[in-house]
Amino acid sequence: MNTSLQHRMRNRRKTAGKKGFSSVVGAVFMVLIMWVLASSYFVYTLSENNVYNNAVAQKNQANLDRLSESTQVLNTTYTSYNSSNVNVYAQIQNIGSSSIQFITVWLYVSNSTPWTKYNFSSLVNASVQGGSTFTLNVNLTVTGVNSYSIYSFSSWLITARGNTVALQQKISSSNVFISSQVTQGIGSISMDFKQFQYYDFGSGYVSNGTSLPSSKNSYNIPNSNNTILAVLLTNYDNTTQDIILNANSYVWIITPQAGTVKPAAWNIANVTNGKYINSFSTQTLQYGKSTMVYFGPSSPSFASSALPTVVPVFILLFGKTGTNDFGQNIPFVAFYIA
Amino acid sequence: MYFRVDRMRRLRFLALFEARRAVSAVISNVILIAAVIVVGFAALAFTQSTSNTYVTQYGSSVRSSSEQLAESLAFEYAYYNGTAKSLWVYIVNCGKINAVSLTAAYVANATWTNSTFTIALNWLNGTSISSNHLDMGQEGYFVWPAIVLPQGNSYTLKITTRRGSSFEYQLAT
Repeated sequence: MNTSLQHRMRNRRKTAGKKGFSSVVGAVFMVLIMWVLASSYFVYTLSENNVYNNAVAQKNQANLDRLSESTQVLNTTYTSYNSSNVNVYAQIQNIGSSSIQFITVWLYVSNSTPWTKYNFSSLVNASVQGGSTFTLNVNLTVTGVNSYSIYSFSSWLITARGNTVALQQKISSSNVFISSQVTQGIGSISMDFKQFQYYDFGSGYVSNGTSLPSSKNSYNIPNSNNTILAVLLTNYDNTTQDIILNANSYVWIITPQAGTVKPAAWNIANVTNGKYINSFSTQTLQYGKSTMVYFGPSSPSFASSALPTVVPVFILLFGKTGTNDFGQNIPFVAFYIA
Repeated sequence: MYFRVDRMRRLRFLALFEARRAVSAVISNVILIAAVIVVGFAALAFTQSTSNTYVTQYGSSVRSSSEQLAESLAFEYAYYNGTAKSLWVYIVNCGKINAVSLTAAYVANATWTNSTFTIALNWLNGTSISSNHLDMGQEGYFVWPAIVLPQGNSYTLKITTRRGSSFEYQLAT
């Protein structure tokens, strides 16, 4: 048998073996179907991964944009130009490369009572290019603000990317600044004369933990009742340090009508959460902040109701500022004792 | 000649019925093929169904994650009104996706936590947001009533969105 004959016979056998041929075709079709299915799911998975990767990339880009926002606040002034209105002025320099859009300005006002208020205003067309300066000049209504009291103002801007740009915190309004500047020439502490008040306990003993009664805003002091005096002081120290008052601080009065000089004094007191505490250590007056300082309880019993008298008042403040001793007397107050 | 061939065919055909072994082989083959086809189609249907479920779940998961990534809320301010015992939270949608709604808010410190799941969003002008969600660039606030936060403490305020993102803010009372 030669080779040509063998090949022919094999070919005949292959053609004649139809069962084997069909199984091969079936297997090929099966593989094709599985391949198409697997490929389609693979491609689908890839495309979904691509979607997710795009989302991650966008998130990263947004974070980068947000982090790249950089500003410098050059000037900030707050002016309570009439009742319940505050003007906020500031210059904000965009020291980053991307432009910044400011969408809202917020204002927070507080005093030492403590009394707090806030308000906000939406900003329109408040965009600033990289390297440019944006001037903010807005008026905000803050109910209860007046032009003669001391306030602490803080303000901040919200950008479209969600960042917060804080403006400088400032204290006081225009009128009070004048009086504080006068006081500043004399000492480091100024007193808010309009905020003076006292608490009248009657003739009763003021024990540890006694709650303060309602305050009275008056310079008419009863002679026979125990009173605690409350004085609002603001630290304007030139060196911007805190002042720590110790127990050697008093409100001291003398009478010029009694023939001989007769004094009375209220020791500096500890009032915590509206209650009198009979132990006093120190009280810190933070720089730039108004702090209520309490004195008493005591009664100016030298004056009788039959002989009402106006007396000079000396607020004697003693303590430390930094490592140095501090002492100041505020002599601009008078009481009417009756 | 023709009659001989025809007769032979008939004989063969009749022989098919007489040769029972051959018939049973054919029947068994047919049954086997049918069983293979049925099982094969069943397996294919099961595979496709499972794959479709996977595709649906995977697509949903990817979409959900992508949308979650695009969400971004910033706190403009949070104010606790000690008199009214209410917490006012101001937020802005600074993300890249619309319809951001809040599902929960939490306030906690080291030893205490409180939560609310009823959050009604308002525009900054005080009117209610009917859709109760914020689109891109929109600002709003919600009030958390009847919550007692002692003064002088620091808390972590956390809000979570419907898509599952959460954002935190340090709150001082």
